[in-house]
Amino acid sequence: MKTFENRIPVIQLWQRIVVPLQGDVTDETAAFLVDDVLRTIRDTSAAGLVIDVTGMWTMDSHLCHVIANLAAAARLMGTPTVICGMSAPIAMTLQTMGADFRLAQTALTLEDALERLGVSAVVSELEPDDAFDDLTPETITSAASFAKSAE
Amino acid sequence: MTDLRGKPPGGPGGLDDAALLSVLARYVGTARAQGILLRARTELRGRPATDSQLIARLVEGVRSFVGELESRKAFAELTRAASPKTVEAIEIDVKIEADIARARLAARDICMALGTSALILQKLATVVSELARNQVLYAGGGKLVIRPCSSGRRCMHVVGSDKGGGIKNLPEIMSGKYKSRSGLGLGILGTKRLSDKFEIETGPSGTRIEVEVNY
Repeated sequence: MKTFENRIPVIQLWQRIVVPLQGDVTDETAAFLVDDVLRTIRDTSAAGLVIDVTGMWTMDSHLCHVIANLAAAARLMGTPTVICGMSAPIAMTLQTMGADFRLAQTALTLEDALERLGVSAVVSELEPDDAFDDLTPETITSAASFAKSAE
Repeated sequence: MTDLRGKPPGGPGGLDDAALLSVLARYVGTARAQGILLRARTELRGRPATDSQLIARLVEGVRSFVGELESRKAFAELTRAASPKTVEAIEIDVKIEADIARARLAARDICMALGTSALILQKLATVVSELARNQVLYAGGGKLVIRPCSSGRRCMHVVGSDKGGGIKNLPEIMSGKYKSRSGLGLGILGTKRLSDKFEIETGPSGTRIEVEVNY
């Protein structure tokens, strides 16, 4: 059954889809994930899919297979997939086992993955002084008293 | 595993300072180690304190000098120094899909208790996950036993046994040509590649796989 616990967020971001996998993904959760992601791709005509495995503590051959299948299905729908954030121990383990991820592209970080999918960021320098200009001792006190009166 | 404790458990004075100091010293140096231990002992003086309370204080002390990851390792080592036989065999009945996750989490626990590296943890968790999945998918359930190797060798021992119909195409699987319906066909072959010792007996009355992972 699909419950709150076994759902993974499917995030829409600049016509791309980002799926952050986290913790221990059971077979059941993985099955729901494939379903959710493919539906979201169809509904949003996403230009790319990122599967971020940074938060995963382990990946076995079954989960690899599910992800590889998902990537292959997404490609059939015209959406390229990039897998990112694999930890060194997981990478070493999958390599030793002989798991094959050739169907999907891989990237080190989420930033790299989005870049592969044509998203480039323009980061403007944030002057620390500007951001906190308003925070003089007086404004902090008045904000605090405002918060108090609002209670 | 060697018993680092000089005194019998529960005796006067509790834990052996020398064993704790040698662990602490590896993380923060001898001088700081002595300071941390002295302070912990002083703070707990006159109060009935359990071993784990003392260890918690020691880890707090270590944490102010090293990072979170290191302090966790220190915690594992201190726990081991305090009670060398805390890590015992874990037995898991594997019947349904949810048991696969339970089994690999048990493997993680045992690795953390032994203070193994992240890579070894990953290897063992994967091995256990593969064995458990095969039992659920093909044998209608089975049993897994994870335990540290006997006679003080630095390795972990996993035995998976089931009463299923056996693996009929074992040579094909081991040659790497086989593709299963639910995975990459890597369950058994992958397990073999990840382990330092691998033995398999299979027949119509069931399958028994014995694996060792060194750490």
